[in-house]
Amino acid sequence: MKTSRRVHLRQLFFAIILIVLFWTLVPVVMIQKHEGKFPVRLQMPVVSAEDRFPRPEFESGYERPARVTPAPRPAWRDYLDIGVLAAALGLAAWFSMTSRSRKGLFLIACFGAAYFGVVRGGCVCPVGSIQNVVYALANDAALPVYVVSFFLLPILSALLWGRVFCSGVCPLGALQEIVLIKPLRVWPLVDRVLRFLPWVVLAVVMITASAGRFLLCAIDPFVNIYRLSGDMTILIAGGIVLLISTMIARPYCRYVCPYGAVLGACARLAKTNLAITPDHCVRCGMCVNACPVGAIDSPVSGEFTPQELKRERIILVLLILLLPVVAVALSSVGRSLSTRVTNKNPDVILARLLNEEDPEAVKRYRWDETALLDGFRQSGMTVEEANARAQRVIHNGLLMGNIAGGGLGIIAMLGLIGLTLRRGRKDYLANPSRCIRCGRCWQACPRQAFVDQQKMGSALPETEKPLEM
Amino acid sequence: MNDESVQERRSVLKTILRWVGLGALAISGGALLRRSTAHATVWQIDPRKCIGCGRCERECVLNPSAVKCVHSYAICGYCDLCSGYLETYAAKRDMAAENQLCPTGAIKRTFVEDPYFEYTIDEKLCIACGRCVRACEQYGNGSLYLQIRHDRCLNCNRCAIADHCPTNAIVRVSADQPYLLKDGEIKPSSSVPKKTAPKKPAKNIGGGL
Ligand code: SF4
Ligand code: SF4
Ligand code: SF4
Ligand code: SF4
Repeated sequence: MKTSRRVHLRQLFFAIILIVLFWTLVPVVMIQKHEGKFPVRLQMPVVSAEDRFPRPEFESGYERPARVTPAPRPAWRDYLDIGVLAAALGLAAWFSMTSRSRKGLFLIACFGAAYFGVVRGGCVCPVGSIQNVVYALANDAALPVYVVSFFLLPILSALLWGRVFCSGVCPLGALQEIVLIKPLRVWPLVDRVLRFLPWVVLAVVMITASAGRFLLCAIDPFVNIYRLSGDMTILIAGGIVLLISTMIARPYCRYVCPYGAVLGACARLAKTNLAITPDHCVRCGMCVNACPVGAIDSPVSGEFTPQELKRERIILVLLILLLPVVAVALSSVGRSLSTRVTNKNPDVILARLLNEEDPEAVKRYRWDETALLDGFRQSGMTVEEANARAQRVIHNGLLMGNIAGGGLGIIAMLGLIGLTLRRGRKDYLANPSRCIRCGRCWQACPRQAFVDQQKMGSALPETEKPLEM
Repeated sequence: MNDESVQERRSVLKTILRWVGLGALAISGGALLRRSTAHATVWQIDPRKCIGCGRCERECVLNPSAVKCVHSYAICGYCDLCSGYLETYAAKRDMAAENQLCPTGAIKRTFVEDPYFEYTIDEKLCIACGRCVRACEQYGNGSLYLQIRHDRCLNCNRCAIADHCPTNAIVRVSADQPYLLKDGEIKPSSSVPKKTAPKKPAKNIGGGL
């Protein structure tokens, strides 16, 4: 009993340290940045107008009205949001692993939807920040501190505690969590295949983002719902996805979200994860049925016949040999995809127009080529600058195509290898890469057998803990 | 090989991998933070590139659009025959509604002194169609131009207009200098303008930031 309380305190302490650390680090970085020179790429160009008519000198004492320029949202709100994100992550970890409170997790989901969704309006969210980071790296564009923090904090939390971000801090996940009424089971084979899709989405999104197209934002089904405005098609699509999520838990999270895939990979290494204590488990399988996303793996026999073992070994060797082949093949697919994307980039089209390359091809795109040239003439950019920009877009696109495609190939093959390395499992296990910390399993468990891995063995509670604190 | 040693080995491996992961995160996070800016960024229209095509009216996620026409008094000619105010080939030279260029009558005209007129944009009425902008750019001083108004803009991660702008005029700028204004050299004749009381910003619709 005593030990377990100490464990609780240690986790709370850990969470607090993390939050405090963050709150002291951010202002330091901020102050440093403000002292440094502001990057040239963000400087305001001074626009001079063409004077066709002389500007009048007034004799009646008329004064020209002052300019009205409403300010954007203040900077402190961005930093407040970082703090709220860090605190919510810590709280979600506490609720899911220490106090075991499903109610708490549900409240976090409500808060996530209300604050990060409705109040904050959705942008920029950690899911979409992947694109900002890729774009900024590829194009040497500005990357605000708060965007970096939104990108990194959930990953850090996943390395420490698993996918606590997905439990409801994420506004997209929160909405799906709230509407989930009656989860149906997805047929495991279909689930296994669909589960790979987020990696494909990640590769495609990386390639398009490097060329300045933010695909993930364009297909985000929920942001329009939070704002109650925007493209009608996407709004309706969002409604349909929400309808589906009442029956099939978290379709977006499981089969689309690339950030969830990254978090899942990090969660495999997490320090603490949901665990089921073998000594307490009565093997009723209630948790398996309760888990809406099919994250709990049932025990499987570890006994293999020698033939089976031999076959698996052959498959394993074949897969390992195939890995580089697949990676190279997919990286060439990535390159060709990136060519298609950069062909539609306005910088690239402009340069091709200026060099009178393939004027017919340019007309096939939706960009109005005369407008593009008009804008170019008005802007006073030189042809060399335009060419250099196009070159960079093409070059970075190809590089990103290689990286994303090759990476996808490696991940796909590692996944297949993981399947053949199937080992026997004696206990029920909440798979960290899939568990999104909804809290349904420990509510369903008749023996409340779930305790932290930390508490395993050494610090088993003598009496059974009540479900919630 | 008993179960326990296998368990042990796996957990050691996991710990090592976790520290590798944390280290990689720290290094890449540090690198990202070092190249990042403390300043947030917002979307803005570069008036040098904008040709007033009218897509700003349709493509913004807000309806009406977060883009509004703004007027640079410093470079305006205060013309009687304002090409941004009147239809170019208006049959009569009166100021009746059918002769006005703006479809919503958002441009207000007030007499200053002979022969000068002041033109003001009523932002509540402006829908960012860009007609006055085109006309003023082609026939006038170019004092009417489009800007994203930050009391309305939701600062979408990817501005929906940017994907449709034919001249690639939508750019990200520092939130400290969120407007790309056309500035004439001529300053207002007195250094302390009388009409300084800024209008109350229009109410933010769309439930955003
Ligand atoms: S999987 Fe993606 S969308 Fe779902 S909760 Fe996690 S980060 Fe959010
Ligand atoms: S908390 Fe339990 S029920 Fe919820 S996703 Fe994780 S394993 Fe499944
Ligand atoms: S879409 Fe581009 S060119 Fe058209 S009005 Fe808007 S900023 Fe100007
Ligand atoms: S960022 Fe969004 S709200 Fe602002 S002008 Fe662009 S589309 Fe409209």
